[in-house]
Amino acid sequence: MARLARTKRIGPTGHGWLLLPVVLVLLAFFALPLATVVVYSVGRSTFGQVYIPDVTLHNYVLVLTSPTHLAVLTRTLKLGLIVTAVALIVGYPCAYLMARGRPWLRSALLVAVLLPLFVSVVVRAYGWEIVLGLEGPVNKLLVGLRLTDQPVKFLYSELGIVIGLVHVYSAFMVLPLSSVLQKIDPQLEDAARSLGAGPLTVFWRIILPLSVPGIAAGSMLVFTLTAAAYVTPSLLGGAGINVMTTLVVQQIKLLVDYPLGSAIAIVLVVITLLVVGAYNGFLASRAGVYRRAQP
Amino acid sequence: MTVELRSVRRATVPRETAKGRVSLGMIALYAQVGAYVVFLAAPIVMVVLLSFTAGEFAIFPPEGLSLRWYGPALAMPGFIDSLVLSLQLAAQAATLSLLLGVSAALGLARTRFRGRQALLAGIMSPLVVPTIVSSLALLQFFVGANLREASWNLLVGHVIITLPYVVRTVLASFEVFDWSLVDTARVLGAGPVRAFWRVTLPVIRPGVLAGGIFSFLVSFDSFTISVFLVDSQSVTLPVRVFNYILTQLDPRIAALSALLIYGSIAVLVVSDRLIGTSRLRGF
Repeated sequence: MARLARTKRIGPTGHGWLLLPVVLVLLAFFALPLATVVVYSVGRSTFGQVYIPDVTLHNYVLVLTSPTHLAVLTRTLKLGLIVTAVALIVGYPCAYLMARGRPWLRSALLVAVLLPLFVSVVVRAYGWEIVLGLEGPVNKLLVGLRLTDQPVKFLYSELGIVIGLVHVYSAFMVLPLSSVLQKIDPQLEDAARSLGAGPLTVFWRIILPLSVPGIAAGSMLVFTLTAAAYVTPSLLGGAGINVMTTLVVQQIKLLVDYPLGSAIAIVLVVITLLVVGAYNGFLASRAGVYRRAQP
Repeated sequence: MTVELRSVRRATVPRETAKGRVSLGMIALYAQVGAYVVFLAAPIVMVVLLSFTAGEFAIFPPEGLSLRWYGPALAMPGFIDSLVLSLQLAAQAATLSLLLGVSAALGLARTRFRGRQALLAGIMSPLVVPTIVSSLALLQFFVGANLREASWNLLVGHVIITLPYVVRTVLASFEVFDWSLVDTARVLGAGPVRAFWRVTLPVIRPGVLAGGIFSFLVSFDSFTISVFLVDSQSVTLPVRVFNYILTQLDPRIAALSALLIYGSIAVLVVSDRLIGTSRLRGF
């Protein structure tokens, strides 16, 4: 903060014009199109006419009250929570080893976690279709071990979506979490151990509470990314299982109901903004703690 | 998230084994992380494995080993066109995003004004708004404005989604930037442009490089925004592969996907050498 004050004193201002190109580009190709979506969302449509100008909340009421649309909304939120929780549970040990392991282990885990992010979403989905398909290696193994009689239907279900999304988005849980875990002084653990605490007690009473900022950051990212995911749910979720993103596309591309599709899109944006806002509120509420944790 | 691994104090997992006693908890920890790594690698390894099949079908286990599907994969209709288009688009989007993003970051770093935070949030907002929403908004906008040149529309869409990465990484470089360097250069007679090229740019180079690489990758890999903006003439590679996967079942798809995976791994290795894997954590 001291640096900011100094910059203000020394640095000449008048560099504001450098922001002009970005502002113009974003206004024209981001803000304006989004504003159009808002305008569409309060309009009407009838059969044969894509959009009739109007100011009505009818579409929003439909999204939030009609059973079919409400089910999609609930499923989106539910999947967001499940993917976040699973990413936290499977990612936490990895984040811990990334924070405390030997250097080679850290690098290896980092590459492993980043790899799915670097592989095209389309290729990832194709890979899961092979691995989890009815004739795939996982099912062959399960049947071979006589764990199931029938092959398990992993794909084209909510389970398929969860697997596909945890695979790619758990990185966004592991990375902030390991950053935070790295900042926890290992001597705290040693002290607790020498005072007689078992490993589980050390985890529950010391590591877990101190890693809450990482959990919060990771959860915010994973939840919003899951709610915004489109390709994975549409490829691994199958036809009958809509989430908000796939429903938006269905309304606009197939049913050509621009107003309703736009309203769903806006509800999705609002959900995302609420989660990000809640996270910022969380950061503000522990601003003191957070700032002290910075090196 | 962009904490340098090296700068943090080396703390290691307590090694019970050194005392000749293997902790059950440690075994469980390593086993769980091992299983997680297998889970992360599984679909990727499986695609590569099946791409080497000598058989007629991409099923597990592969029948024999051969490279016979790689040639036909490259010869699939439209593949080379799409590859060239995607590479061009990624290069164009990265260049434009760098031009816009570096200038924006410079403006934000050097200027204090009311609403600066709000403006920064606005520039970052394409990362917050779900891509599917901005894609559809852009599509409706282009249709409404009667802009039907797909290659231009794709470029605009890609710049919008890659811009925040550049601004974020470059702005991060400015946080440790000592502005008195520029002031000194100016006092010593350098013009603003010369001062930027000779002083500012070399210092913020890692951020610019990282931003450029992110932009290239995000653009090259972007599916959601492209799928709404392509036309039959300009189909980007991810969209092309998506169409193949929906319609073709033979091992050419596995070979093609494997080629893309090799590309991804090469990029991961090169960016590690170039900017350090730890910096990729901001991705």
